Amino acid sequence: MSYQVTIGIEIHCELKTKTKMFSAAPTSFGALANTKTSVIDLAHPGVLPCVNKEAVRLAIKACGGLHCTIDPLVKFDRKNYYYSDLPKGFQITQQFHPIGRDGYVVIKTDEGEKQVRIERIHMEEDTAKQFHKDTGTYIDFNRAGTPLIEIVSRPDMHSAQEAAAYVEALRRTLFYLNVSDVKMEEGSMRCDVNISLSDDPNKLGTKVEIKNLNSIANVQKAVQAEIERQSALLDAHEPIIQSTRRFDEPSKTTVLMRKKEGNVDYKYFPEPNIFPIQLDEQWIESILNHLEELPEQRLERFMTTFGLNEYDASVMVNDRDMADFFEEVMKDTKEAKKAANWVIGDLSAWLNKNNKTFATNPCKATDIARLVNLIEEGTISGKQAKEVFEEVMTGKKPDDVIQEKGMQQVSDDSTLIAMINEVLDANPQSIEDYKNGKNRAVGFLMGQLMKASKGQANPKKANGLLVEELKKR
Amino acid sequence: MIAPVYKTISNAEATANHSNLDGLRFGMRENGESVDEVMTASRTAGFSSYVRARFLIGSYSLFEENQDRMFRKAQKIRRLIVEAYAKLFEDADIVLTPAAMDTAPLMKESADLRFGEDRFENEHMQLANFSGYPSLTMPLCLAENGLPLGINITAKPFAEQTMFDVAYGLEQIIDWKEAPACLIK
Repeated sequence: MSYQVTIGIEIHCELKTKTKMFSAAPTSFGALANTKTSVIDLAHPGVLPCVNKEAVRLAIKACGGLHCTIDPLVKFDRKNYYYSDLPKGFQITQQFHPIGRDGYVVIKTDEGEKQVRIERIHMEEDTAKQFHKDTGTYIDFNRAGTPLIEIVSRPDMHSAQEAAAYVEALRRTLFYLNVSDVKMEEGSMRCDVNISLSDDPNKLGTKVEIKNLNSIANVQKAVQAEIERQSALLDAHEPIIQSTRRFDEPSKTTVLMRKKEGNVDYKYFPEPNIFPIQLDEQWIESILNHLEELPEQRLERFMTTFGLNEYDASVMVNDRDMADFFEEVMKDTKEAKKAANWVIGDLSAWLNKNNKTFATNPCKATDIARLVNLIEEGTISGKQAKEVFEEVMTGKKPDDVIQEKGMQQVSDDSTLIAMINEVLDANPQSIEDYKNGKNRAVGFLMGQLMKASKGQANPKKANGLLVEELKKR
Repeated sequence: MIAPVYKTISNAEATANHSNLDGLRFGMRENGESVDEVMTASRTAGFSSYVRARFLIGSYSLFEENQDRMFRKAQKIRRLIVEAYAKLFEDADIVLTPAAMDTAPLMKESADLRFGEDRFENEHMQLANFSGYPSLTMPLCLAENGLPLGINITAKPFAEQTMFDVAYGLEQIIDWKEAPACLIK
């Protein structure tokens, strides 16, 4: 039986500030344990928090890019609980006054475009990181106090595809806004999914939470696996138990982490050490007026300004570094489609094979532009260009490669005609075949011509001239 | 009114403020089989019963079902008290009060005042906690028993300099070690 699936997603995203949310200690990733801490983040007695303005600025950017209404009064609250990775015994968060509300993100589904609503965005601080080993649990406080935004969606998603599309769209927007590295594999973006199934469209089923998803692909797989698990239970009239689960990659199933024991009372109350901050409306306005171009805007622009089709434009927009590179290339050439093909095709493939990304791309945009122009001018053929490309990727300039290899394509009419006639003289049978209507002879003669010219005859031109000369015979 | 409001808010804040003392990163640590046990044992051994009682009361007032009638209500009354207190400063730059009506109790005299009576003369000193106004207490004179009596000088918000000026001025004209108690009667 098929059930109504309801999915809501909570995302925690680390803001890329230089320092912590409430102290001047540096943010970091991968540093030696407990070398990037301060007494404030370690919660030594008597320390006081100080709000990081850059974190607030980045949070406002995120709210803007996600179409949220912004609350100009910044207030913080304490979320109280005891845990070994929570130095103060409470987390400073924004329970009652989130900085952003009522936003949305647009996702593409099989049925077209759809809006997934965002209920709220609020600022808070990250906890320390625990490592469970045989010898015990080790706690690294470098991460404690890192600025976070928590983005809570409304339960608007109804399939694994929609869930993955939402996370993808959100990730892309946050990356474009330069507010976070959003690397799920490094934990700078973390995703918790809540799913419930129901056979009654007017009622929601029991909610199950899935945590620790470290890639968008796994979000989709985990949600799918959970839908199947819950469907099977409901088919068998068994109850769904409210719990927290994780995705087990090898078995491609969700596995129980812990059962939900009722609702924990976090005793939220306003943080008494941080006075409410009234943000200057003009400051907020100026931030919102200077947002980076959003993915949807760039997609639109790539399609209208460069005349690209939606597919090509999407592929590039999805990888901001690739899109940036493409735009650089377009500064030196007018051939948008050809440039896109090289960037999406050969260049991407080369980077993949050599374990690089567009962020670590060794070739210059001007070189790709030159390559595209050389083909367009007819100096080299598309096929030759692939050879030149390989050399360019080792650091050579396209023109140097062509020079070195004597690859200059022959496009001069008289030279071509001379070569054509030589080939025709050497293949009288083919001339006969052509006269008898066997057009395949043209192909054969072209092959001979390419051989004779060592691949340097401009194929298009040569073909035209060949047919002309054939007709004369 | 001041005392219950003060106790409610200060206990609630204190219980959260001292949650960092869990025995894990610094300070005394008692052993346990799990993190929870270590924390519980450390905090039990590390705080007196008086302090633990305050934490319990503070925590209780913060429970979701209790906040409206306890913590939040106390916050609201605090605001009303501060508003009333602020009126005193409409016509004055400084409010002077005795710090306490009596000298400090001797060690041998002091009873367990944990949940004892709240006397108005001491409650007024909590107004500075509620309002955040700059407040300074200094010795003024000697009582008949030879112990000092204090005076409290409170100024408007951000008027620390006025407060210091008045305190300094008083210091210049009164030598508290010589001044007899009748001065403030």
